[in-house]
Amino acid sequence: MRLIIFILVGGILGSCIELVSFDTSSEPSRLVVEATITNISFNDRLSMPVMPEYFTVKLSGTSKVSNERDEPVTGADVTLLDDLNNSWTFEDHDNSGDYVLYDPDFKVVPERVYKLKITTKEGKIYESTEERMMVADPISPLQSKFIEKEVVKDIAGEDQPVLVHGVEGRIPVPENTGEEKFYRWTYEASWEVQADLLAVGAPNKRCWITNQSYFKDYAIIRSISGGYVQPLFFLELSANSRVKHEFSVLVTQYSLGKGAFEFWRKIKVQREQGGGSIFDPPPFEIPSNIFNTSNPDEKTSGYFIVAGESVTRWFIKPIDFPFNITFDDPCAPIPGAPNIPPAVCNNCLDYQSGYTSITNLKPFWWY
Amino acid sequence: MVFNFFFRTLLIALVLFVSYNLPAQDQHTILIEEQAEILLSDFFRNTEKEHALRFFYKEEWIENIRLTVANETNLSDLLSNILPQYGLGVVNYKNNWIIINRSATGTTDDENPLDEHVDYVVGEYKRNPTGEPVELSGHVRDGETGEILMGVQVATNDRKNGVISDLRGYYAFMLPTGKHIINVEYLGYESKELLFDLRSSGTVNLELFKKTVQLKEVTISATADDNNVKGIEAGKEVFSVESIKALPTFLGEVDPVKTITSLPGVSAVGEGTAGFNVRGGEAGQNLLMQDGVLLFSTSHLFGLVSTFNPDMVRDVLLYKGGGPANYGGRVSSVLNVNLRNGNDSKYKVHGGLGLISSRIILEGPIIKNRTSFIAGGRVSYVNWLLRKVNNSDLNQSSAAFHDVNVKVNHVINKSNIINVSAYSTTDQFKFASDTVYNWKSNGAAINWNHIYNKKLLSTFQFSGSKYFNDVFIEEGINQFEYSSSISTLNAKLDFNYEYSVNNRIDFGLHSLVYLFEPGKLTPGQSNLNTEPENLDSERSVESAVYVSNELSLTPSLSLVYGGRYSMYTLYGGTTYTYNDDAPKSVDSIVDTLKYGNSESVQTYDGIEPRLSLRFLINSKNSLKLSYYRTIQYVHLLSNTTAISPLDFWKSSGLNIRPATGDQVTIGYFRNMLDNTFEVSLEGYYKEVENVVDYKDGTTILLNDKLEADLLQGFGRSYGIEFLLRKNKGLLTGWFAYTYSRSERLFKSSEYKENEINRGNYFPANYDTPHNLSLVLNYKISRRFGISGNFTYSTGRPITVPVSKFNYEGIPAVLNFSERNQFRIPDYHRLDLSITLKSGFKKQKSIDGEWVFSVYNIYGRKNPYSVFFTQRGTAYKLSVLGSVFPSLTYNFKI
Repeated sequence: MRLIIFILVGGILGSCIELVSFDTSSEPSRLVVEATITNISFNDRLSMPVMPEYFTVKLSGTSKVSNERDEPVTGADVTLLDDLNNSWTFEDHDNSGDYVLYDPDFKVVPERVYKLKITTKEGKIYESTEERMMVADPISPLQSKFIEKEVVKDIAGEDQPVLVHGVEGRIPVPENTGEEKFYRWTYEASWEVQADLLAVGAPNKRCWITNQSYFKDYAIIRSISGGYVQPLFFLELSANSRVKHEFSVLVTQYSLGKGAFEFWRKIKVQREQGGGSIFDPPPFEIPSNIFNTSNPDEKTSGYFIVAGESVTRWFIKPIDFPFNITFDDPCAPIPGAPNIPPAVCNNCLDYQSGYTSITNLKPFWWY
Repeated sequence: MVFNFFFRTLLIALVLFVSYNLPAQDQHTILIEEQAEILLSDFFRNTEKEHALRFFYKEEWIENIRLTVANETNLSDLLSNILPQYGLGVVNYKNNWIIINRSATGTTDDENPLDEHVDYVVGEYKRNPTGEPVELSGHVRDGETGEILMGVQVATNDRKNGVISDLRGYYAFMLPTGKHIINVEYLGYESKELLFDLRSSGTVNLELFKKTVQLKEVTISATADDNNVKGIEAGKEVFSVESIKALPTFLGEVDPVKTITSLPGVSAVGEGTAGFNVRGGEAGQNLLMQDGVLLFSTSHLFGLVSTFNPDMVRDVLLYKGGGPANYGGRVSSVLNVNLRNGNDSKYKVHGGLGLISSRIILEGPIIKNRTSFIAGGRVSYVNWLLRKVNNSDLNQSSAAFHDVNVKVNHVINKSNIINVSAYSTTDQFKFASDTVYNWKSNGAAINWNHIYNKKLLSTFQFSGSKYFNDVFIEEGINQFEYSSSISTLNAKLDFNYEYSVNNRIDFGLHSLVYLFEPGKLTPGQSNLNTEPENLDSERSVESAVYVSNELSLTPSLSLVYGGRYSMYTLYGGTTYTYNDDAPKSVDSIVDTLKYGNSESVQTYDGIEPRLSLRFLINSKNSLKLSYYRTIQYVHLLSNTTAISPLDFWKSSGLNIRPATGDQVTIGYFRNMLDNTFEVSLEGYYKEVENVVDYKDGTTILLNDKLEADLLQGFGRSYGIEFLLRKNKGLLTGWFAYTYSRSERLFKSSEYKENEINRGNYFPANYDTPHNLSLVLNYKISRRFGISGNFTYSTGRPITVPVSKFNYEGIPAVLNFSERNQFRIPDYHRLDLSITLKSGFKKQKSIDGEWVFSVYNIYGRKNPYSVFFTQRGTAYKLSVLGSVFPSLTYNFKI
């Protein structure tokens, strides 16, 4: 009897999942255009709490779903045009497929309409639709809300719900006076790391780390009236060594046009679904505004985005927490084991836990 | 003096031949003296002695015939006057007087029934001395349960005279006196061919027995043996519950819906899912009914188990198409599950013990032969099983269902019968302390059958139903409750007028009120991220009048034709008007219109002609043609392939038009070897205008501007269906193969946004070109049977990621193919079952059977769904991907 029960229940609810493959070899590679231009120039950024960057257009070809990396598209002419026939050229000096506009003062102005034109080395000409910046109020300072939240954690190989302390970053959405607005917010995490075994003031005692993918998500809303507070991200504080000293989040607000909003919304929906539930909506195409001028039916990917940009930086440190959080000390000796502390205990540049950039020079915008 | 029959027949033939060819006969006169009240047999004997002549006759022909000779009469004149009123005649050759039976010799061409045993002698000749046509009447009952049987055909062999038993099981019709072969036929029951000797009007009560009870072999067919060829309505399928039970089951759960998916032209939506597709139609295009009461769900546990309690089902009727004009509202098919009445003479208990559920049925008289009841219930114990397993996910999960059905039938008098029925089904499903899904279906109906006279009867039905679903998370910061419901009120008045056995008219009036409550979201107290939402409810009324005529123009040409006029109005709620100069979307809304509950928003109407024609080439071959038009005013929207409790119904309104389906079919039907084998080949072509699909990336649930994201287009499907069925013998079963396609077209000359797949035809979600099923039952002995079932179908279409790209640090944004350009792996499965019945003694206290079933015997991992990771890797999920043995015990007390 137990055997039958086991087969029965295991069969119904245990079910089984197997890999399947589809032959997609006949699908041609598509041109992918990653291009966002905003109203903040390189020179403007120098005085803002951000890393200064030029505007870049990244060209690549789509790859098969099993491939890790996309093939860069090099040797193309990338030109930005406006409705007064001004033009700007993006250059790919290192043949990486990243085309950079080396103009420190270029920024989008709300009155102009912009178009991106790409001519590949094969002579194919692609143009974007004409895009205009949507003006919006600048971002307000981020608000913090300390909460307890149930999150799913992998404990001994099984997903289990765990109650954790954390802080929610929330943004007041500006009130609309005119038409509805479309916003996208991205968040970039930075935090300070200290080499615990070094004396205060020693070189490489303090480092500053930036990790662009610490928050994997972004927020997107269509704001009809505005005037409310939108939760953005949740930063877990319980047992999170990254918040031990000081933690910062750069929140960038993009005011988008309807098309770009749909582009980002659909990517978000695509990333959030999956899992084989019978309630999953069927998949759909992510739109693009880039077209082959001689063959409008050719499929391309990506979007030429003209956005109003605004940034704010937010800091948090343990003294702000309304509750006690204890952190593990990775440098303390483990009783009964040979005392070999991790390298980061003696040199903060040896930080191993994942980052986009690390520096032992305190950024000017840090506290 | 009686000769053996063979000799006499030979002699009669000879005499007839001679008398015909030799008109100059020996005509000398034989005078008979006065005699009073003498039996004809005695008269013959006396006359033989007195006049040295001989009479040839069959004793039973002249039984009870008496004659009186008033004056001295010539024998020839005397017999010529008397015999015809008894259907007899006389031929004289020399001194041989041969009595012939005129009525019997006229009835059949190739066989003479007179040599057979007469089953019933009705009346006496003396009560009908003039030989007028007489009335044969009586009741028909189930010989085993005593249940009255309605709809039994009682007719002469040539079907020139006959009748269908009425609601009380009563039949009556006129016939000439003499001998007649009467056929008594009823679906699911063993047909009878009875020889009646009708002398004057009289009553004969008939009993029929279920095929499996009385027969040596299992018989699959529920209808008359030659219904395949002779039935007039194309695309009509009837299964008795006995034939449904003969198929192997999943975990011992008998499922009428699964059975019909083994027919050509009908396919399952998916493994372990609810719903079925008929001739390339959506699952939401099937009219589902139980005893005529509208249903929105027919399954428990997301489709694993049917909601129909098999012990209460009498038969299942399916029309692959709109059916005759008395059905309407869905463009693809009609499925009506008929429940039986309770036994009105004795109490009975039936039941079954299965691995995941058990059921019990009680039935019996409340007032003997007048009022009966039947009540049944089922309860599952999956939860008990889940707790037995050492797995925390499964321990915290639950899956439970139960259902109750009650039906009371009351015969008020000869012309009025009333019955009341009610059902309730409940499901709860919860996986690992997460979201709970609840869905319930309740309904009740009252039926009043009234007989005006022998030709006209009416049925009035008033019913109501509510389908309710509720999804919630009980606690935590995600706490919420989402609910939606569908309520209906339905009144139907149907008349059947039987002008003659060859000419029947059905007409009636239907009115149906829908109330859709599309969705209400209530966040929990600690759930601050979610706003409460309550979508406007939708009220609508769908009414129809219809008339349908079943007519036999000639013995070979019969047709059912008719029409239905339907009208639909949407009342109340909020609707939007859109800018005509832009594609319909949330952005092109120019006005919001609010209507009061009784304010009409939009009305649609239409005429739905129906025609089905049968041409009998001969008694073994026929051709059938049909054309159906059906209008569907409410649309099932599902953004999933499977039917789920979260499916969403949408009324037609200002911006959503009703769907109109047109279907033509042609079929050739042939029966062979005394109806042992039947073969059919049918082709169909169907078009549906205004099928509903949604734009890419549409959110269906809780979308108050959903219609802005819906598109209406064109659907077409076509196919060829082949069926070979063996109905008799130890081995029975069928082989069905269908080739079919179902495609959709969403094209817009104005706006690219209103197109799907760039305005090209694309396969519908349920387009499965090749479908094959093989069902075999082998009766090893009267108690022991084995059944097998194999199904195969092409994999369903699917949209898959064809490439990916990195974008702003997102490692993989997926590019999907155009809609439905790929297919999931093919589906196939083999099931077996063994049934062991208790002995066949007619009088026994418990009639039991053990059924051992193995579902998916070779453990094929058929895909339930295919899904993709964020990186685009494809996985298939097999819900029933292993072998499922089960053991069930069924009993009757």
